[in-house]
Amino acid sequence: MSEASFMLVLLIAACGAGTLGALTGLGGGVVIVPLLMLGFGVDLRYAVGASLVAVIATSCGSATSFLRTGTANIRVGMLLETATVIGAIIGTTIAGFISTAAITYVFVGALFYSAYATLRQPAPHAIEAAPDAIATRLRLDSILPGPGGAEQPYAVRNVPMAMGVMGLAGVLSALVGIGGGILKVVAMDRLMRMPFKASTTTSNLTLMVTAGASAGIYLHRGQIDPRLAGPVAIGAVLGSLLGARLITRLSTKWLRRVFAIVVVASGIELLRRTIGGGA
Amino acid sequence: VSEPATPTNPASPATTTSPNASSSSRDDPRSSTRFAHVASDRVIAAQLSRLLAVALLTTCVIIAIGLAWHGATTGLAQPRPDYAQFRPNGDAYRSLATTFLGVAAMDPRAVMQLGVILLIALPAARVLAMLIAMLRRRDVVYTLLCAAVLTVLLYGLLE
Repeated sequence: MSEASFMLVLLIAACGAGTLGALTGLGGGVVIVPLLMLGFGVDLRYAVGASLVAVIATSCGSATSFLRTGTANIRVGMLLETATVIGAIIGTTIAGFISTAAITYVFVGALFYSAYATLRQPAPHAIEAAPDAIATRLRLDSILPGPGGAEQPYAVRNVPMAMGVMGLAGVLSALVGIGGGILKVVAMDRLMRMPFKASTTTSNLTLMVTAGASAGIYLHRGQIDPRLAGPVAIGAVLGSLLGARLITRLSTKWLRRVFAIVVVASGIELLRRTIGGGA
Repeated sequence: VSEPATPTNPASPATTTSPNASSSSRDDPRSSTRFAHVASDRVIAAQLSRLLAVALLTTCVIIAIGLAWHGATTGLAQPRPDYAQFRPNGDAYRSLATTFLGVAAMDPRAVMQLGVILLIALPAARVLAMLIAMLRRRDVVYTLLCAAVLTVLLYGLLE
């Protein structure tokens, strides 16, 4: 296979990964690393670099729409980004001296948790209205715009705990090249008790900054090869745009099940290869 | 290969300029000081949205040009590289400065990498834009938070 056709195949595959990521709400990262490693025999370090670039691109693409509609909470995003970028720097430092096998185990753990979280949709919680001292001081409370002008004011809680979870999400994101979106939704939806739409969109907003912090460092380490990252980024953006169009027409319930099976299967295969010393 | 930057969001109509167009009359929370910042935040968010859309389209076009160029020239002639063994990039593709030199020397791979590096710098541009917006509104706490995040991002980018 010539390099040109390899890049074309890569672009199409990344487009598929981006579509799946947008449809399941997990972002492309969870699929791109195993896709590159298992599908194309790419070393983990290249895969993590390319995946982080794709995470930035897809997160930017979807951020444009929900920033425009005012769904994302830019203050919560900025506050939590202080925690995730520090986590990301710690994560890239750790990645510099532990073995790729160890990183693979962490990644497989994240894959299994992703599959579990995809299948088990959190029950919607009541929206808090009573103010919290820290959140009020930081002006985190906001109003979620709804269809037909129905607006939902909400209060934010548990800021210090959420910051801790976000720091952890930053470490994970930097180490294995995924967005860490699942932990972020846990922090914002479960702990801060933000409305579901506000927490998922704000999570997406913080993904790009978290990935940006570690991608810069990986660039200097020579882990970002333009011949991999270029086609993967373009494909992932196209895929996420396609996914956003398809999402209203497809049954996401079945899609989530298929996605969970694919994710678990690739986790098992990665484990098998790493333990067998193959990849 | 270029792609549309216009985001598709069928669920929600574009309410760029009128965040407060509608109102529910019973004790309106927006009159409370707790929510006084929301209207102004939505203006900032809309500005950030436009910035990201334009910047993402630009970086993707640069990557696409480099990709097509590389694919049509050396890409057709040589087999796919072996990525199974990790060999770090040469210095030519590791920083913005050396990548610029490559672009000046008409290296299509450097053009692709330029787009990729600009994409990596996009989050920092967004934080800088928000810092300026918060500074204009004399919001000290968020100006400092933006400055802290920007510092870490620039550390990663420039190192």
